Amino acid sequence: MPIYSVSRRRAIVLLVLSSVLLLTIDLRGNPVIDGARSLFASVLSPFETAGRVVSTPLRNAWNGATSYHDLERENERLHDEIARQRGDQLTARAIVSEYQELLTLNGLTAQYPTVTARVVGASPGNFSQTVEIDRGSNDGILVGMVVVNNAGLVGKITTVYDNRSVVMLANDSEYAIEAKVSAGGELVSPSAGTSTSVSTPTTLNTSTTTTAVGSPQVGPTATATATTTTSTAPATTTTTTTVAPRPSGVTTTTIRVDQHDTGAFEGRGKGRLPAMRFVAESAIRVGSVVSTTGGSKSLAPPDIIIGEVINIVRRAGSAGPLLEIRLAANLAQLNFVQVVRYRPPSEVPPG
Amino acid sequence: MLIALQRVAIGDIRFWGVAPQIVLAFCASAGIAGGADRGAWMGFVVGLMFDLGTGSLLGQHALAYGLAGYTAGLVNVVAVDPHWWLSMLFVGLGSAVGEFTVPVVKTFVSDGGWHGERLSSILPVVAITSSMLSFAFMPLGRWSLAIRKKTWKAPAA
Repeated sequence: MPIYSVSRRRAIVLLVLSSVLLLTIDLRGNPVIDGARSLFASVLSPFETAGRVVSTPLRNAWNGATSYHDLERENERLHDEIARQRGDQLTARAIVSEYQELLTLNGLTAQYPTVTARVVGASPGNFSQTVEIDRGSNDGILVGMVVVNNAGLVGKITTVYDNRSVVMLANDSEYAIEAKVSAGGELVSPSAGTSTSVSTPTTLNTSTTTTAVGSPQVGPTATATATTTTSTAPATTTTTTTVAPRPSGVTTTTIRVDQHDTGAFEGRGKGRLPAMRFVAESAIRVGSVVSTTGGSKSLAPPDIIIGEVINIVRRAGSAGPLLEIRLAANLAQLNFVQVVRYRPPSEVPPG
Repeated sequence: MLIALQRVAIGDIRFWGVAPQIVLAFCASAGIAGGADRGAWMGFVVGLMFDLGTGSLLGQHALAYGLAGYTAGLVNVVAVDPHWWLSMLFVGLGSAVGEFTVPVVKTFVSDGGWHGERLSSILPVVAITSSMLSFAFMPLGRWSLAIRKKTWKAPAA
């Protein structure tokens, strides 16, 4: 057949038009295509299991050959980091406990159910940053739910099948979420009358906080005791905080005076740091912590740690600064993640 | 099987951060084995399966892989019976065209942004790995398209 012929041209035009048509239909959302996708995933599942079993020795050999020196260097670096963070850890535990206690006192505690999942596949392509996890709609996972690990935000669910889901990572160029950045601020040291003691972990995934608050209005001997058990902290902290009654009848506690600026956190693809835009010019500095904003329509609950500011790019005009963010979670090495089964208040049916 | 392998295994095996694309290499090899038309249709069908299996937009990889098979088959006709290294080169070229099409389509249909700065590393790695895989995939492409290998017979005296 000659290189250029009517039938060949017709074939290629038909192929391109078919692709464009399918793209258009899929972009608009089509239940038939979703059903076909789910069916194909079920058909593909045994092949994937077989492929995983067959390829595991190959992958291990490859990783052993190519990543040995990287692992050695990382091991040394992590040793240094552990030594540096050991001191910070105790301070952080005390602050977290006080924060949880304050939330409890004000009735602001919020616990969201999570589903722990294992990462079973990396991104098959070179232009999207996704991973596949071994939990799906059978476990209550829905499209849009936030995925985290112990360090912080990992991404969000973009496709859900019966027993697996696809997670778009936070560094994907299509990822965006409302975020807030701490603009610095003073950390007020614990005031007189507040005592905090921190004990070593005794039980995994359990944190017990016992609080006794004096109530001058009722009488100096009356106390209200609240005991809460939470499972958010990876390590256990037992904290006992006692706030002495004040003669004036006002209880004072530790307060963090932080200012926040909100903006849009966006991934920028592999090899580029995620960024945050639309932030007002303020006292943001390198090292400021970035976390989710939450809100009635946001798919993510508030205060999930995203990362920290490592570079501030000042821009002319009214565009405001561009903040380059280093993610708290190491997206290159994900093993287990948690899907936060959170639905924004605007999507929860009444009653 | 190739799609399953790409999803669960090849994504972890990366050269300079770039994953080889074995499904794309197969489509380009099918184009060499069966010609531009059959390569295009084979790429289209396999790309559709890839889209269904990976959750990407339906038609995105179908178009890219179809173009890869078409391109490989189209350039293969420059020689009557191309040498093995020429076929390798054509598979690499077809794969590069296919891989280049993916971000182009993504740019048109979404706000994913252009990956121009990474293409300079992605395209060579994908092209070279596809070329190397063509040794295995050209016979596989011939088999899947039910094509017999060309044999030349001396004319009867």
